[in-house]
Amino acid sequence: MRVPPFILHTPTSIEEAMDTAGTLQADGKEFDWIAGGTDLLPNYKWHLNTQNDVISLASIKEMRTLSPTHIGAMVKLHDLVEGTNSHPLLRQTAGSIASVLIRRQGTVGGNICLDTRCFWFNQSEEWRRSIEWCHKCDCDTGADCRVIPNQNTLCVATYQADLAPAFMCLDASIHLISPSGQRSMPLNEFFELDGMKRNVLEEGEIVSHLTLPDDAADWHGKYEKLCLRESWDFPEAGVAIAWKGAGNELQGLRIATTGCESIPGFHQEQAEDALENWQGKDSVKALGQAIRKEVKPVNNTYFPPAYRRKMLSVLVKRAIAPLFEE
Amino acid sequence: MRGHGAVNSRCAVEVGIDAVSEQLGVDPMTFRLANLLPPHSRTITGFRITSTGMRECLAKVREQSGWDEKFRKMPFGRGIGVGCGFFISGSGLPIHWDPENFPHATVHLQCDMDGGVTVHTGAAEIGQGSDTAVAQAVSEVLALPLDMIRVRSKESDTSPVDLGSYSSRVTFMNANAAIRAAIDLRDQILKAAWDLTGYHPDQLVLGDRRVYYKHDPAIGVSWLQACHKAQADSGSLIATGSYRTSPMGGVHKGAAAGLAPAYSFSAYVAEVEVDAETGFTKVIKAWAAHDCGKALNPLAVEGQIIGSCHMGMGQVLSEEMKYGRGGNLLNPDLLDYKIMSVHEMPEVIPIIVESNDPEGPFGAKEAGEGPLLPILPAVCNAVYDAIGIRPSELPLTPDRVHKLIEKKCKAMGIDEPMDLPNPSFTPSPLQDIIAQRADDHAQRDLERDLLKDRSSYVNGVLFGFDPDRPISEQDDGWREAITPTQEDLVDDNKRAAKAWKHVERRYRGDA
Repeated sequence: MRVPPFILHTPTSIEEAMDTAGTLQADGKEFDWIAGGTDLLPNYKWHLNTQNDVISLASIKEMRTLSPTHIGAMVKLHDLVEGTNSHPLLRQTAGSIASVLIRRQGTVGGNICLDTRCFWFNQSEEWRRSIEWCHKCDCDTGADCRVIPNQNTLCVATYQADLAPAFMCLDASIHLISPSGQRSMPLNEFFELDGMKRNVLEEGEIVSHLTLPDDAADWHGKYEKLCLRESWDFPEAGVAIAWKGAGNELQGLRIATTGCESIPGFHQEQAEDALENWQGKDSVKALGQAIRKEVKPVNNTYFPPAYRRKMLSVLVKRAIAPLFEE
Repeated sequence: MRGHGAVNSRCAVEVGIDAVSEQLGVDPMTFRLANLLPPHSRTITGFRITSTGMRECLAKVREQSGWDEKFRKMPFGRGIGVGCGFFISGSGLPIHWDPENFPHATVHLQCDMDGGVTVHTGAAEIGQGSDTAVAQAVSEVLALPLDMIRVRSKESDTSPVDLGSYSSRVTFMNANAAIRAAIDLRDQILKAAWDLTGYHPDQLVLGDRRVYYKHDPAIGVSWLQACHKAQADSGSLIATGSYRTSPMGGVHKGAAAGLAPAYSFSAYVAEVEVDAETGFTKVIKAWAAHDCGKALNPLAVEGQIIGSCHMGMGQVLSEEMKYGRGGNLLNPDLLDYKIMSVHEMPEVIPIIVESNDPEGPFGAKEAGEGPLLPILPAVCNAVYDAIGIRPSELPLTPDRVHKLIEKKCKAMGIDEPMDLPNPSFTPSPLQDIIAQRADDHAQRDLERDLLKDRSSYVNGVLFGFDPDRPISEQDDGWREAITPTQEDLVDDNKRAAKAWKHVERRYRGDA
């Protein structure tokens, strides 16, 4: 299980990175971006969708800007946790990711763009050969999905990153750069429901930074996740809730989930319904049930999907608990 | 994983004992104390119990954990549980070869011109400290500092055969062999010192790198002088020792399983917190008392106890192989095969109990696999104390526990798991009777340990038999049988080890 050899490009500015990407594209070469590497390199060790060229973003200083409303893609998770002026919800969420070692290496952009995970995909090459590959890494065999055979062409691998729901609850916008230009969008429009495509990023496009709206500081929130061990483990289910106002006089409510489907879920409809008929603590149970009904996990991570689904209502209850403490 | 096979079945038995004492309305700690085997007894399956510190183990964890103040008295979601275990100190029958003809362990000693002793042993040091144990045994007998003992244990070309590091046997068997070899070497030294000093070996003492007259330490020779004299007399100063178990076991089918020259005993109490909404179990603290006979290396024993708790915690709470539809192992990596991390590890209070086994080296028994056994049932029973759920399947992953909680909620017509009743304990009239019996047995065990009481132990008191009269007088259906009898010992086919004499037949081709 060795990392296959690849050519590492180390641009020092965004323009240089775009030039490198443009040149590789012009030559018809496929390539990967690498930020912290805590997700990509283990996958490379397992020979999962490896490329010949890898462009590292580690030397680009302009992507490391961190302010209360501007979070560069190359900001280390640890810096986000330690950053005194980052939003408390982001700090709490980032502080729960994996372990200290991984947080010191992994980046915000890398966490947002985390590859989806599946019991039938995140395995060694020999293991995958024994099941004749799977849809997400089919080695040109056109293999079927192993989780739900004979389904359509979608991959159902699970998105297990923590930061996305927290950013969604703060109404963050994501900013992308490619050799052909820049574009921005709300974070919940960034993801695409497919375990292979995952998001709207085109070949050669990267996430440059995320921004929070100016009123983000008025929003309070909490992130709760389900994982067996306190460190290392990916979330089997995660719920982030942010609110504006307090107690029974709630002015705003946002809910997002992760770890259940191929993309994080932003549950605007459920949050609006709850807000309309808000009756303080009595509304929490109905909200939890609504989220539980909305999310449909599949059997490809450690905990069985039925359990993960049931736990969502418990996580909702716990994530919103601070609202009633104030 | 340690102590394969024994661990899960022990857990089932101990959880069952807890369930029985619950139904009888008896404190599970008292229930166990009233049903312990005495020292120097024989079980119905032919196990020879020499020393046992189980009673002391239970008493210590009961006291230190504050059992009487906590049991069934803690708030919902928090619980305390007890579990016991025992384990072989080395398999009574070797797994490799005919036990009648070859020893289990052999140690060669060689004393060089510099007075240092080289120990040749085949015991495999796998990090458990067997090299230290064998060096300690030799240095204890020869009264030499440890820096004069050199251990060569990883050389298969020069070392004598040894069965290997399994069934918690190395300290017990290898140190016993080393002691015998060291006694042989000591006798040669003493004989040389006799020639030099004129005092009979019975009056000579070894110590401080000297051999001296026991009534006047000024009279004596140095260790080196005695060594050189012995080498001059015999040409070389070497000694060898070996250990094999005495014949043991019944004659029934399966009698060979679980035979050992001595058994270690342990009792643990675990305190847990169970989240009734999610099914998560967190072990807060564990009190772990282990009877290792005599702790030759107390630091290593404590390390083994704490390490065992860690391994056992994984076995009871999370470690599991998950298989897919086609039989593929789905979690063949350390991310998804959940070994407990430092966050999940509770504070473990290791308590060493010493019962001084008559056959163990300096009284020692094992401290390898035995300490793992009780942590599993202790956690399972604590989960019951916390939320009133008695699990029947391991590991207690949150999803499993949650399923059981849901089932119970449904059966009781309760919506919220937090509204489940907190288990309570009302002692039945039997409690006092059992407590009295436990006290009586404590006195009986003490007398047997001091060899004041040498009567054979009757294993049927709980079924209404009078322990003071032979059971054959009380029930016609019972018959005193000593196994193996003299005839059994003569008849090769009746020995427990006969399985190893079975000749395997192999056929070639289609036949």
